[in-house]
Amino acid sequence: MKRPISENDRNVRRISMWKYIAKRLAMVLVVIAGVTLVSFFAMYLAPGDPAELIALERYGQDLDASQIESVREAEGLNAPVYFQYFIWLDHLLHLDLGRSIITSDDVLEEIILKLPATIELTVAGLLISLLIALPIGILSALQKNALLDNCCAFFSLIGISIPNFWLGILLIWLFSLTLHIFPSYGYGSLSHLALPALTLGISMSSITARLTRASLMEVMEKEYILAARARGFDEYTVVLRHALKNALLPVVTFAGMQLGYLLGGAVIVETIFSWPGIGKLLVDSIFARDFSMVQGCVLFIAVLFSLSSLAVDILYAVLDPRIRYDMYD
Amino acid sequence: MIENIKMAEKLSMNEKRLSLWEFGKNRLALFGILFIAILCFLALFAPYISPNDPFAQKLDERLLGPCHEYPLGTDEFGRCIFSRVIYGTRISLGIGILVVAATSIAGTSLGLLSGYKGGLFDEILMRGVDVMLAFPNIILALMIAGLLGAGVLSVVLSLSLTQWPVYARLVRGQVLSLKKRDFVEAARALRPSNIYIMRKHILPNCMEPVIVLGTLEIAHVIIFASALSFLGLGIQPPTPEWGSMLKSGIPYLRTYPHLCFIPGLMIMLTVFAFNFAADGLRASLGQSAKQEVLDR
Repeated sequence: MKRPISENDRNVRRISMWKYIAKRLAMVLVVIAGVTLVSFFAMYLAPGDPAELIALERYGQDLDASQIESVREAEGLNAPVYFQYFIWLDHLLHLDLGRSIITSDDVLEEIILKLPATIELTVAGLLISLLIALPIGILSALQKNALLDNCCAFFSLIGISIPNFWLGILLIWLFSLTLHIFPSYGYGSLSHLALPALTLGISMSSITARLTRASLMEVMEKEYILAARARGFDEYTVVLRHALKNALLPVVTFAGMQLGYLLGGAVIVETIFSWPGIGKLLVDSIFARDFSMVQGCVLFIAVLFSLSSLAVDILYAVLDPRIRYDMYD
Repeated sequence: MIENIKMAEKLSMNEKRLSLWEFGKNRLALFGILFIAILCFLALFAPYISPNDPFAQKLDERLLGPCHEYPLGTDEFGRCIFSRVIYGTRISLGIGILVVAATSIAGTSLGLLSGYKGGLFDEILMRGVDVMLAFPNIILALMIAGLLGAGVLSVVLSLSLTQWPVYARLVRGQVLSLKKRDFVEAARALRPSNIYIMRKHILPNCMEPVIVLGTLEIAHVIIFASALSFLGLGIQPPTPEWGSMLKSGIPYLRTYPHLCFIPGLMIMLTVFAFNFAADGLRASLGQSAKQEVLDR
């Protein structure tokens, strides 16, 4: 017999949820602090003298030593390194990521300008991956047909192994150069979005399909499915109304966690398709040796990724109370 | 009685039902291992197998299709694609094995120490691992390779610096659960040195998942290395590398798609092979390894 939940139990649960969220938040803050440390020191240890680079940009090719020294003085580059880090961190806390060495644009402004394109691409990629993965995962979990299941398995194995830059080129060749359906590069309309989003979506869908299949198969073994069957519901109702709802919880949260994968993939996909997002900005800045822009992009992506996985974890803990007792004890 | 036998037959029929998800993997694993063996052979004996010099440019024989002299045709500078692909095996496999060797040794040792010692060292190292894994996918490697400038060394360094945390986290988890096991407790009763216990009792029991992970990581590293080269941040032409061959073939994609298709296929098949081999290893090494690697 089940004991009714008392007020006391509820309090315990609520406190432990807040405790979990606080713990998770503290961890993310530590991680973000570490991320700033890594980004700063990667730049600090980079070959080349930043003062010289900035001076080159300001005064042109014929420099003398005094100009470099004056830049060093003005930019605080002769201070001890930990001091420089804290100054940089102080700027960061005021949302000042500095200015581009090359174009003198504000780094954060430039990133925010490119953000919508990247969001557009990643959301479309995520949607496409779910559109592909869910039917495949569900169909193969139900295993009405061994051939179908094997086809799905094969697709999933291919999807895991195919590098996204190679997939992108294949799609350009097929849909753009041979069939002339979609443009191969550019930004603006929905047809421009098609190929980059497909590239991202396909390469992500294989993992999601695997997860959907495993999760649904596990749920189908549960007693409440047996109970639903015993009550005489037909297979569609059992799967769609009873099983799927429970099976999709890990799939959806996993999709949230894959944001990092998407952002990483977006760097390559944006470069192939000349998609004007943060990924392309990052790669372009690397080539231009625009170190402050590179640092800003990398930092921005890592912080975005950390915060989004924090959001997913909290959401998951709120939705499914079992989770937070299992983790971080 | 008869019904029991029928039931048993039915059960074994069910178990035998071939599904590519579980059983077929072993056949694919065999393909994977075979393909890897071929790749190693190609890499070792590249100078004897390749029909032409991979660097020799013949501008009057540009963009040829497959023929007797050039089995896979020639590229935009009239270089033999077949020879370049074979020499490319050296680079991709070399980088894959080198990076995985370095990172698995470093990551395993750190994870072992961290899990066994615990305390402040463990705390700091694991937060470090969290920080490294907060940079999604290839982004940190991209930044490091960009800072160091293009070249083989910078690819190896950037991938080594970014790939070790996976092993550290995996091994640490293994050690934490092994530490509580009876045989470790029993060994400890004799008061041997900590290093002895780690080397003799804990490390050997961590190796299975590390081997599986390492095989998977070779696939990852090959993808990352060729992605860096594809972006122009890794190995530079004229060095024959699959990623950079793919990149330089793009302008000819419409008319001479084989310039892209051949290196692209090679990358894909190689990654395929290592993934399949890892799957097979995982299956044959048992459930524990499987679970650990999936959980990472």
